[in-house]
Amino acid sequence: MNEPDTPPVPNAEAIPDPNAEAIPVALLQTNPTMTRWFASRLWWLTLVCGMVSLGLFWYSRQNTGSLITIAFREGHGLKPEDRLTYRGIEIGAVEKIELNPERDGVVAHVRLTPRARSMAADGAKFWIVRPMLSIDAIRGLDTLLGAKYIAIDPPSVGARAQSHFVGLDSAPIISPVDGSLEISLDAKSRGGLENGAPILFRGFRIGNVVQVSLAMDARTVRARCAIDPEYRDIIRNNSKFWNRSGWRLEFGLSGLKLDADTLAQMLSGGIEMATPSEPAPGVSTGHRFFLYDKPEAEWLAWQPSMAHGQAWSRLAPKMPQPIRIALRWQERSFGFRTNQQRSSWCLPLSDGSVLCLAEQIDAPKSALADSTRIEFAGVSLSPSQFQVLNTTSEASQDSSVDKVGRFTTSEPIADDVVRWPVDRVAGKLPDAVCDVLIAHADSSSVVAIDAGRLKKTPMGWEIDDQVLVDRDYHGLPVFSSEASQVIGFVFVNKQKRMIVR
Amino acid sequence: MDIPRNHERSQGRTAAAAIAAVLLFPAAILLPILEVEQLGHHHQSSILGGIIELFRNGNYFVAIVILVFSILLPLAKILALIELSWLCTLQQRHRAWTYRLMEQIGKWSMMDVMLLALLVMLIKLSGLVQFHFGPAVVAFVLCVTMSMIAAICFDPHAIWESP
Repeated sequence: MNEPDTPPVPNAEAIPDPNAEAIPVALLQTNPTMTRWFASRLWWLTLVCGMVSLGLFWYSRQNTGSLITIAFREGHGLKPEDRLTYRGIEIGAVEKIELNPERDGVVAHVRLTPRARSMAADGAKFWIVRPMLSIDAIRGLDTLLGAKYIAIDPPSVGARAQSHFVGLDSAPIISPVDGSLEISLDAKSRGGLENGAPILFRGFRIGNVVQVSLAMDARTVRARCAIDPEYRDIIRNNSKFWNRSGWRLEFGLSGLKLDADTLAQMLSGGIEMATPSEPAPGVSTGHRFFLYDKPEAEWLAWQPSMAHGQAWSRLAPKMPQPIRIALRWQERSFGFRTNQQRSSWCLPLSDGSVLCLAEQIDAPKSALADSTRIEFAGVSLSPSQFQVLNTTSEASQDSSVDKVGRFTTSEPIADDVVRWPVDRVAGKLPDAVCDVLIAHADSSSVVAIDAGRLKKTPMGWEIDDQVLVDRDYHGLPVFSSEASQVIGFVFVNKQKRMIVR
Repeated sequence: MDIPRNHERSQGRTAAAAIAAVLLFPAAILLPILEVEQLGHHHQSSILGGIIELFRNGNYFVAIVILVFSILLPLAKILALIELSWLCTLQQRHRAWTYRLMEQIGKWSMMDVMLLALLVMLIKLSGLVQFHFGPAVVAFVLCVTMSMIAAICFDPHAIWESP
């Protein structure tokens, strides 16, 4: 194009032509012609059309989900256009299904919907849903009449994308709900235990047996169990499990006695559990328990009070965090100076003050002047370093029951102390008794007390003898989940166990 | 000098429109043109995909008819137009031959007819199945329009009157 006399577009035919045939007219065309040729404004339209075309390809690519292949051992009558469903909605469709080259399985090509693209990642499990009848449930009934479909157990978020999968022969073992506690139980024999058998606490289902299998060394039978998230706090280190599979037929003087709970349990077996009245700390996933053949009489009498349930698991991180507090003073007895101390719990508040039992601030009259010290959160305060805001100790009718006091200090307190919002402290006990939780620094020691176990008295709420609240709970803040407020403190002495304010 | 300039301008327009049509052509035949939803089944097909489907099902006659008349011939016509307008270096006789060929092809290229078929289907089937057009429809309509513009802009006199 640099030389004006050459044709703008050399044509394969144009070059040999000049000598062989007539005058090559086209050769006379020059550059200016070319410019005029491109002068048409229609070229803008060409550009637009090209962009539209590219845009459409791009748009279409955005809107077509990825194609994945799933290898199954059996087709189970799966056809093209059958669906891939998750949580009951379609997230893909089978495009074609064919025999694999080795002829020992089938390969399903599935087109995912654009939104479900992230489903095709490492860890996704696929299986073909077909009608199944089992003891406790009828599954996939919809496939009896309608089309078969592929179900998916989605991969974890952020897993590496993948497009080739190997499908499962049957529905996977129920994947435990997020946050559930997985434990394993070792038993001497299977004893009629089936996958999916319930785990019962006081006859109440709190979890499931996920899988029963022989242990690696074949010495025991291992049952992998999942405890539902809301009941995970019931399982403690010292919990006992026993198999109550099947049914017992006893024939004795009293007659014939059939012992079975429910029909489902009779057929699939079940595991019963109990936690001692003094619950040990909770366990974490992977904990192993022994599965006994039958319960000991003692286990059945255990009556622990443990905070549990959805309300509790939601509350757990929002519970007050009490810390230890000690009051030290010196007394003169028989002419000697002796050191005395009493310790309990206190609750630091967001305004910088600290809430605790009044007895924790007031040293007895017998204490030597200037010998009292309050120690908490790593600081030791002399009387001049703290200021009592209010104590009702003197006004109290019964001197054996102390009320709650509050003090502030000018001394800096460690930053890691969790402070409880001051607006979530009730001024007095509610008018009527309600369900309460006794907050504890160790969340597994939190005690739940049902309203039925509390009795209202002029001094405060008396705690029923059945509830295990010992001396160590003295001074712990009491939290009402209903009001989400700290309503009082536990007071424990030799005679009484109370909630006071 | 005025007359050839006009010819050149017409050739430029033809080339622009024809090239636009060529650019849109792949989008029109490869992308899904119809998305049909029937009894919960979702199915989408492109023109080329539909033809392949017809071949698979053994409807060779219909498949060949559609393939030839709405893919091959329209494409040939557009390409011929580009050749005529762009390759001005062609020999006059060759250009005349290409032009006649294009005229013949043009009669048989039925791309626009297919658009009509789609429209008929939309009206007829709208009660039975739920379906909507895919992105290819845009490309298809534009492609038909562009090839029409190219054909209109083309001035056959240029073949004989250009130097």
